Amino acid sequence: MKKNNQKITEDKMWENVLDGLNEYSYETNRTFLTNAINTLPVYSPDENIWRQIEFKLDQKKSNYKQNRNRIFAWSAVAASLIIALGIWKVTIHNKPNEKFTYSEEEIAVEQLSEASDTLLNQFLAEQCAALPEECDSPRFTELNNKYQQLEEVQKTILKTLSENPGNENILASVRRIENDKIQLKKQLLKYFAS
Amino acid sequence: MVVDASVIEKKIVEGCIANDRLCQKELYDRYKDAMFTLCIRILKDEDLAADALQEGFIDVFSSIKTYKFLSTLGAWIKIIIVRKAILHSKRLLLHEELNEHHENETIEWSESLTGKDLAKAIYSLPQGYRSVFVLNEIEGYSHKETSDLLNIAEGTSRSQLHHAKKLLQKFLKDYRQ
Repeated sequence: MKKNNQKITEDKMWENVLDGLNEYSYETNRTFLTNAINTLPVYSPDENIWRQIEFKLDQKKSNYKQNRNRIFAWSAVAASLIIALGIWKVTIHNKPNEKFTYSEEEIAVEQLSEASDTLLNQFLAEQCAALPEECDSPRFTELNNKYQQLEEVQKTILKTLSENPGNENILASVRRIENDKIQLKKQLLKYFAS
Repeated sequence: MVVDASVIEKKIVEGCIANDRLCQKELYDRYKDAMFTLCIRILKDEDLAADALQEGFIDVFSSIKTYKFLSTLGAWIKIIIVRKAILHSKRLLLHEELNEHHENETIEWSESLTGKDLAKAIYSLPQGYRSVFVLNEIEGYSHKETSDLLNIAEGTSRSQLHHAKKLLQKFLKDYRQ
């Protein structure tokens, strides 16, 4: 009986050892995957994405303002009409007709530097034909890519501006991009001058 | 003086609620890499990932006033971005309703497994397997959370994960040969 009990205890111990070994091997195997997951490559988004987000946020804000202004304007018109009707009813309705005139003003869309863009593109094309190795450099590629991206964004914004003429927020975005483009143009010219 | 990170995040969130552009940019800069990487892992395509990131962050800024500091800001943003990425991949998602149980079957990983090889293998997975693997193994969501996000049964999530791992192992073996 004593021998039997001893055998059972030994078997139980051996089972525990096997369980421990299995667990260890599972954990070790798991660590290999976890280590690989921790060294997976990380990617950075293009700078352009923030500009697009900023532009969409500006648009949302301006739509909200426009809606609010529209509601305010219609409320004001309704209120004015009620007051005017009231006054007319009480006092003015028997006076001779009065003639009202109004004028409209148009805000000109800003002139953009299209001429200087064309000149710069011509200049870059000439420089790259003469000095191809300079145009292959990472610095030039980076500056040029940024410049091309800005042009793309500007085109999109100008299209939206043509659909919403005079929108202050869109005009602000156009100006901001134009300033960034000027900075990049300077850097590109400096690159070839150095 | 050391400033508590949560205090800074609170200030950023308050700024975002007030539509402060600098705070919005700060928030974007803090999370853009992690979220863009997550989108690429789910969608595999850089352009689709960029679209999901852009739309996701617009949703983040539009709904930030609903953030109640009950989870970390990163976890809250991640859910929004994951949902957006899944929405973009919806047409590509094909989850078979599988309920086989393979939990006892261990998949052996090599000690020399690198992140680069694993990434290559992940991008070779079919869309459904990849989404489940990324959400469950890399992002740490449970099967319940993964199945809720992907609108599939919990059993399907478990099964897809198992198939994904098996397929990954096959790809990794092929690369070594």
